[in-house]
Amino acid sequence: MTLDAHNMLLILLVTLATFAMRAGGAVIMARVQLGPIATAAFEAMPVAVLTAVAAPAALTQGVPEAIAGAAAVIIGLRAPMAVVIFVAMATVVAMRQLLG
Amino acid sequence: MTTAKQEFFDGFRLALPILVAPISFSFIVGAASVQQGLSPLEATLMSAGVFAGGGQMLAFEVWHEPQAWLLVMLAAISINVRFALQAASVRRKINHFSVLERWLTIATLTDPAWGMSEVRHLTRQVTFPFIAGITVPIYLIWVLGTLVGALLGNLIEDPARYGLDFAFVGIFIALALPFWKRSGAVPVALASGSAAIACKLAGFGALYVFLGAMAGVLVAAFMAWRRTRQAPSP
Repeated sequence: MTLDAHNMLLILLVTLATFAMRAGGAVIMARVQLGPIATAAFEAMPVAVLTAVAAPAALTQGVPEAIAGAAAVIIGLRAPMAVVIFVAMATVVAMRQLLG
Repeated sequence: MTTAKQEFFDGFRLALPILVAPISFSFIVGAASVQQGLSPLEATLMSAGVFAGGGQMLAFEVWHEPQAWLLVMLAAISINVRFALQAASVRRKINHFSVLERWLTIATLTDPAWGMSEVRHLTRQVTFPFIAGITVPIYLIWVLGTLVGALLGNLIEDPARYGLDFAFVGIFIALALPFWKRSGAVPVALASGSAAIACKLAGFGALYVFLGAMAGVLVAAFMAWRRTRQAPSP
């Protein structure tokens, strides 16, 4: 168990940068009075951010990942979250075996 | 009446099925940390302080570059800028929290805590115990899992073999589904998804999440602007 100056500096900087993102969003928003357009924009953030993470991850890695992503969406229309995650993992393993 | 205890366990029950993701992800982050030359103690401190796996993994890509001090911050900002959007949205739903509760919520905000709070807010007020029920188990697992992963080192050589690398995608799909079903969400999702894919393929690095989300938000703003311009129906 050792602490290295270079590592600790970088760890501190990554910590501060990440905290700045979380705090910045909260503090700036707390002071802003929003009209209907800005309200619609902020209400769209959840679906916009989630889709911007999920779509490239599912659709730019290859055919097995795309099939697994589609399977997770279809199952997810009815099934709970744990099943969706399991289906995503199991399908990607099966498809990589079949197609890889 | 809903007690704080019930609220905590409501959150905990929601978090339970997704804990497989932080378990596997924290092992991988711990193993990746020691491969970059961090000690197990440093790896654990990093997970406790940053508490954001994507940013930690991305920072390791530039850990030994000449301007590492600048590059790790850019890496963390580009992938974690989504937290600014999420924190802004969550902050609007926690005005009734005490100041300490607000800062604890914001400082430890994660994708699941944010996503589940958004879903909760569709039907009822979000409480601090509810968020704690999600965040506390994830934080403990995250920190301890990093330590275990770092100590075991390279034991998990090929996470893709077990589909663990894809658990992350399953979580985001599961979190997004309730929103995709809502009216007006489809154009937003199509815009943010296609823009994010285009930006990723075009080589924008981790910024593709931010750029894609912005495209979706712009579409939502444009749709609202069109509504405000339409004359009220007679």
